[in-house]
Amino acid sequence: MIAHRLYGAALFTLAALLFASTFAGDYAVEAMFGDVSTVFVPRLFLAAWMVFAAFIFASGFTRPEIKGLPEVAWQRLAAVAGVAVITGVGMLQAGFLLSTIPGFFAFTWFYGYRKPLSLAIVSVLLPLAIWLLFVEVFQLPLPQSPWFEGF
Amino acid sequence: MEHLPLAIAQLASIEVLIAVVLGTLFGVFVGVLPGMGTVVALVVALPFTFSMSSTAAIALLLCIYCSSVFGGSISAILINTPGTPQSAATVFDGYPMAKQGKADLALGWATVSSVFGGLFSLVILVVAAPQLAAFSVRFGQIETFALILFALTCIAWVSRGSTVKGLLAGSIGLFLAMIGPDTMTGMSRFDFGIDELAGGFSLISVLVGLFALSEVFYRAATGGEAGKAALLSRVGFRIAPWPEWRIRLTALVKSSAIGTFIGILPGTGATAATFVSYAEAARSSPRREGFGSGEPEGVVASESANNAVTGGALVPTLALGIPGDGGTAVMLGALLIHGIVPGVQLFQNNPEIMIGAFVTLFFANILMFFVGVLGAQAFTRLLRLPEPLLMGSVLLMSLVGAFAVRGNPADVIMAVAAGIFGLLLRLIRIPMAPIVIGMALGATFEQSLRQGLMLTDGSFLAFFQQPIALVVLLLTALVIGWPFLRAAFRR
Repeated sequence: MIAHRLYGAALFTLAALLFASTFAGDYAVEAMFGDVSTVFVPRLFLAAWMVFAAFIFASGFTRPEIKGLPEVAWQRLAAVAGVAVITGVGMLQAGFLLSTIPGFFAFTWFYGYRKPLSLAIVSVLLPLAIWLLFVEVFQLPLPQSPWFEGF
Repeated sequence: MEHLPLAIAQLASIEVLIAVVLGTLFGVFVGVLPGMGTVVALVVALPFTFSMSSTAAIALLLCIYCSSVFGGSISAILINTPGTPQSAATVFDGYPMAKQGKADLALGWATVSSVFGGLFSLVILVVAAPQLAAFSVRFGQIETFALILFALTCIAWVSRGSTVKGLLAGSIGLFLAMIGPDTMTGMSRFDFGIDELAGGFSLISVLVGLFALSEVFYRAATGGEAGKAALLSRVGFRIAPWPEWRIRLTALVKSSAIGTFIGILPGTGATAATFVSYAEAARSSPRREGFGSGEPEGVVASESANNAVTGGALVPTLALGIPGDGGTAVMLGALLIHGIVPGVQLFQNNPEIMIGAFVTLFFANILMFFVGVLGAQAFTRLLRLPEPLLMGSVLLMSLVGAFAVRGNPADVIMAVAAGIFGLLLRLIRIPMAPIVIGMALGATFEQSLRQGLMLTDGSFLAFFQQPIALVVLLLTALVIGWPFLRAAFRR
């Protein structure tokens, strides 16, 4: 099965690279008092990762193709995932409110909600309510805009 | 028992009653919000206790501690995002139940199991606190390692049907827990010079991404059919009929016992308890085939265990002054601020405080039931929202939840990346639960193994010379080898 071979190989390669990185000079510190090396346990996990990935890769040559995989609406997925990434990154760069108000609007629009007026109202009220709840009630800071103090 | 009237008299003040009600409501509310969690809820409430009497302060914190764990199950069931890490295993069966149109039943199972688990551990706490505290001291690093190893066997159980994929996902999760500072030496590992990775991954941000954001992306990718089922599902709160409960009573009691016992062990925590309990239920249940696809027993196992931990974790906290988990560590600090020094002396010098705590926990659990009944109605209205608005709200709460845990911007990026990764895993049908289990237990596994090796001067064989560890390790070997043994017996 092509999918098994592909991700089996990709995951094996990733684990192998990470395993190789454990032999870097940074980790060459002598363990003391019966302790093991700082990369001993990670190596155990990476070894297990490689074994299972290799097994899946090998099974790709013997197993039939997976049937009934869902049809993917790639355009809609790309749009909402793109908006999610931009909103997440934007939240850190421009502050919570400045990114989530347009982010929520765009995300919901691309998702298929087509009532602009009510969407605009919810897009302002929901992020504002979350902001007030976290910042004013719980006193937990959310990312602030570098351009508008306090928001 | 002669101190009971005094304890009740102390609790029967308006201030304490308000603290109990507000603490329970606040705990459930914060528990529902992904990323907040028990510790954040307690820390947020801590400053408010400074102006309270010590009895009211303890009541408030105990109620928050207890009810926030339950609150996490509501979002786990309704939006596939555990509000607290303790409810991570509730997602496995709670959300599939909601997708099948049984959100009301799932909330009923979760609420009753939580209340039962909480009351069960309370009874144990009252009856056996001093004895259990003494036994828990015998649980050192080696025994904890054995216990975590046993908990890891649940990876195989939650990924039946695609065991190798599950084991692969589990090893990825275990490795992810290794990124960041080495708890023993402080050395940063696998950060590749990226500052944001130096602090390691937050379990919550990965949980938020893998479960909540990947669900959002998956629904968008597949046209939202999965959402329609949820939107049409029954909303509200419903308790399953008695025959349904009767056949799951063994799991309920067993999971509560597991939760109480693990809660007593210092430093093990509710998350481990939940997975141990879930693994045991998935292994031994006659309905194990349905686990992971909406079997109520999965919700029972997870929720009774995580709430039973609350009572159990108070045993070492109050009796020995050793916190059982993050929540009890904050509780310990709060008690000290109020001039109450936990330890053996507390039992002898201030028994009314101990008994008052027991009575408070009892009321918190009862009140939690009613908050569950009424709150379920309110929270399930979420399902009536148009799907794009619901998914947009999940996106915002996920981003906030990922950020709020540590205030680390990298966690937001990590959550989104985990969401995209989770979508890929869903599309190629790799189970995600094992990643979470691996991440939740990886750090404790490493720490207990290495500290155990230091205790035995590097000899792993010496682990088998510890009686408790030997029993648990043999049990683990039996669980792993059981399918092979059974096959051999059949031949």
